[in-house]
Amino acid sequence: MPEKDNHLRRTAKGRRPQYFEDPAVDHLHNMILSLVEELSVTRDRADALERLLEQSGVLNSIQLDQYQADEVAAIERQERRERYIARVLKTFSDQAERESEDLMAPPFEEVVRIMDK
Amino acid sequence: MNDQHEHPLLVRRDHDDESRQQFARSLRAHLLNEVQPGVYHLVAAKAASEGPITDRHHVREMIADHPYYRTFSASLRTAQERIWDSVIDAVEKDHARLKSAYLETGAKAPTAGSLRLNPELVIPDYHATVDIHLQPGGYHTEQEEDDIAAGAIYDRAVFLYANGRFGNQTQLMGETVVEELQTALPDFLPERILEIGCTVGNSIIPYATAFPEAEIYAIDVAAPCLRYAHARAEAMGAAIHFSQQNAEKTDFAEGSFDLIVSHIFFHETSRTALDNVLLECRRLLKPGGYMAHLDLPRQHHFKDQIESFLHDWEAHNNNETFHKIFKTMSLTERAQHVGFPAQSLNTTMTPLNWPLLLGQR
Repeated sequence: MPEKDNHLRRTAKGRRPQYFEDPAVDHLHNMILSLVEELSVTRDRADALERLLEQSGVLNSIQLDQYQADEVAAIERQERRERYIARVLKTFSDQAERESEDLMAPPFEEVVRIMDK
Repeated sequence: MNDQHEHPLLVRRDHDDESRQQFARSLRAHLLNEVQPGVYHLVAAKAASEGPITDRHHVREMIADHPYYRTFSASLRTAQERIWDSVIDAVEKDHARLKSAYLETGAKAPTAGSLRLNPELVIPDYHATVDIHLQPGGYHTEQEEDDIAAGAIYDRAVFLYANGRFGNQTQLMGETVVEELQTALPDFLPERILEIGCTVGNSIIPYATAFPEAEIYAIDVAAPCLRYAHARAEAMGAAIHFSQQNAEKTDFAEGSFDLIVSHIFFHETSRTALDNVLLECRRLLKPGGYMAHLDLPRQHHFKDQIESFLHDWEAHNNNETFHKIFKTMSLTERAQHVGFPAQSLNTTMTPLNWPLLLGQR
């Protein structure tokens, strides 16, 4: 888990192009790709678990189906779920960041002008 | 699997970080290899029915609003953002170890190279206006004392971005220039070498291997990258003298170097900076010394206007803004403008499919 006092910058300075007529579609598109990513990670992790469990012979699929999280596990799962949601919905925090004073950047044509001078 | 060579400064990844990074890398590769050719075919088909293409701007008008292009473009943008974000996840977790690795550099044994920072250095507009290729905070942003984060992030992310194409220590650009130099100038043994715009020092290390007797210097404007580069080079056993300087105006004495090199550097500067840097190369080279600049393809290198348009994606979507201008410029012409004689300049196409300008003072 990241240390609380060690947050690195997560949003790049510079306006993000709008790709679709409705900006909501940009957000949705972004969220879908993030979901795809997380599903890929989850599959890798499940694959790792299954291989490790099978190797060590400690578990079979019936036990997995019957598992119920205890209180500690439930809290950890909740925290992980919250980080997961933040990641999938990052497109919104990015927009807010880019509109903040810190990352305010000129429009594309103005950037071209600065580079061209 | 083709993956990055582990070295002590490379960020450690836990299972999920590694999985996310590999996903972002694969997503980007898939979009470029499998989806982007569809854009090419769409434009070609439109041109066949609507009349010939005049230039890359015409291609943009033809395709920019097409849903296929929009979705491709939005996806490639997101893939780029996911590369940075997945690497930043890992750097945040591994931060303490990386930072002590930097702080302990030279603590136990004297370093082979050195590090000289200049907190007064002004970050040029062409780096401060937008974050180049979407690295949050760019190369230069520091959030704490002795910050190395930008370097640690860049080292991992650039490997994923290139999908291994820059070699497993991202050394291939440097290696390529070294090989071209050894072919073109077999008897050339530079005693003092300078790299401009070195970021994490990945490209300069092959020079230390090829010219073990040479004294090697590398400069960049970004302190966090230089700190990381210093620790990385020492961990790899390469003696490099890093300093924080703007290549437009350095503090080295006139005629300090036999060889000055750069690797995909100029396209991240500006029109004025480009001339200033070439002029500074002229000042810093000994008479008879060489400069070798490897950079991205220019307008005439593309097989057609559709390819050139596709290459513009980086400028419009990835904050590689100056590249749109740079690709229309001739480095040879600018080098002549600052006083390199025409007959001393020669451009060759390297195996990376990027041109290399070789010039002699």
